Amino acid sequence: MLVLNQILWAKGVLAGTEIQNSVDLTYEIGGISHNANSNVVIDRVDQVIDVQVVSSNVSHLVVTPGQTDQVLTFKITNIGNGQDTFTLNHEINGTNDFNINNPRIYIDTNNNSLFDIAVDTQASEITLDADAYANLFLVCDIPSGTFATGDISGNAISAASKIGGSGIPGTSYAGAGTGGSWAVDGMSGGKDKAFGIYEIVDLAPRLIKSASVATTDVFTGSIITYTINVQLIGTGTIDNFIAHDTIPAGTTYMAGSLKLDGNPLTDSVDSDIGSFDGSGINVNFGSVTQSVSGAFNKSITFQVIIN
Amino acid sequence: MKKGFLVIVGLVSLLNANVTIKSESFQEKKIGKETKWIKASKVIPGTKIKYVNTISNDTSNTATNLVATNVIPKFMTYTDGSAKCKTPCKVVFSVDGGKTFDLPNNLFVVENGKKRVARANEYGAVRWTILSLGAGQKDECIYEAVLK
Repeated sequence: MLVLNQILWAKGVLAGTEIQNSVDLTYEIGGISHNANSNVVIDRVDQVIDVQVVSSNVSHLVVTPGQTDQVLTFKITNIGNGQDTFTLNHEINGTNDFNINNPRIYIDTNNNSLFDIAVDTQASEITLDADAYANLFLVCDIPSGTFATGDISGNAISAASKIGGSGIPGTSYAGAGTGGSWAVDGMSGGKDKAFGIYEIVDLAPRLIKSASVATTDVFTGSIITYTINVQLIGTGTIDNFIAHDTIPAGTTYMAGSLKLDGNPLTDSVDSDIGSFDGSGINVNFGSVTQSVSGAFNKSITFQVIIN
Repeated sequence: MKKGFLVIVGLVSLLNANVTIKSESFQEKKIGKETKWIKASKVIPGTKIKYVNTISNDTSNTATNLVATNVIPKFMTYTDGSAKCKTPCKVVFSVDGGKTFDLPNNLFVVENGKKRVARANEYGAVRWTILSLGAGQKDECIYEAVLK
């Protein structure tokens, strides 16, 4: 069982907190001053059980039949006010064109938002402090077979509180909360889920961009090296295949830094396939035919300097 | 001699006046179509609590200039307009941790370098002043606050 405590935001007073109220009194009798103090009223904060699961996938994940370990990314947040353990499950959409194989859920142990099977932890539950979150990966295999381009498969990660999780807001649990406190399912009913979608394609590009800086701190004059991994998923022919990336605001392209698989490309439009057009870089692959999915695999790098 | 002793005992009794104050907390509960205040027992963020401070004058004399001061508990936000007594009283507030008290329109805070009238949710303490409370009588100093 993994315990994470990355604080994202404070959302309500923590369960178990004591709220104390007392009052002081002064008065006079016969011209003589007196004072009195009240008792101290103590109310202990009870636990609200709430969880949120959201998909981090900005679009459908394009896949081809037979691919393994295809990763959808999610984020789970304990939006309750006490530590809770959530059971994690995979769920499918009832109207899927196809269903995936071998679903597994991993916790992003090093919190880098990138799935690493050697580092991340396969799990069926997760414990989160109040307001803490974690990235989750749903890793699936795409079945072999004949599918049509555009076929989709919706797949969710669901999370349910082990304290409550009835799905009905307001359901309460005597003595089950933090420190034996009363607990109640919040607006989520103590459970939530989110879907990500796999989409079958004949042939589609997949671009994965990353950035690195040589220094620990980033400041004016720092140089950022961007790497774009360009793959083609599926089989067939793609025409006019151009990879383009706009130079980020607040930075300036470093002339002559464009490379393909480590080999320099010139910035001008000439005999090689690379160029810089004043606002971004372009690499024109032209027409590409691929008979084995993923065989086309190129690495574009370029550098910018922070203004 | 015996008569004199009784007079002294009576005077001591007078001086050891027994006016007490008791604090209690209540929360709202819907019972059917009605909403009632019940003893606070299930408190979660967003719960509104009504604090009732009951002053009892158990002496045989009238108490005067009764001033009850209640620092609003940490994590609680005062509810605007909720401070009152059962009988007429003066209510003032503090925004400096209970050092000074005044009426709402005279309370100021500085925000982004500019002075402005304090909002009710910025009050840190409330004070009630009751001019007099007769022998054997009770009064209540009340306010409501919401758990953050």
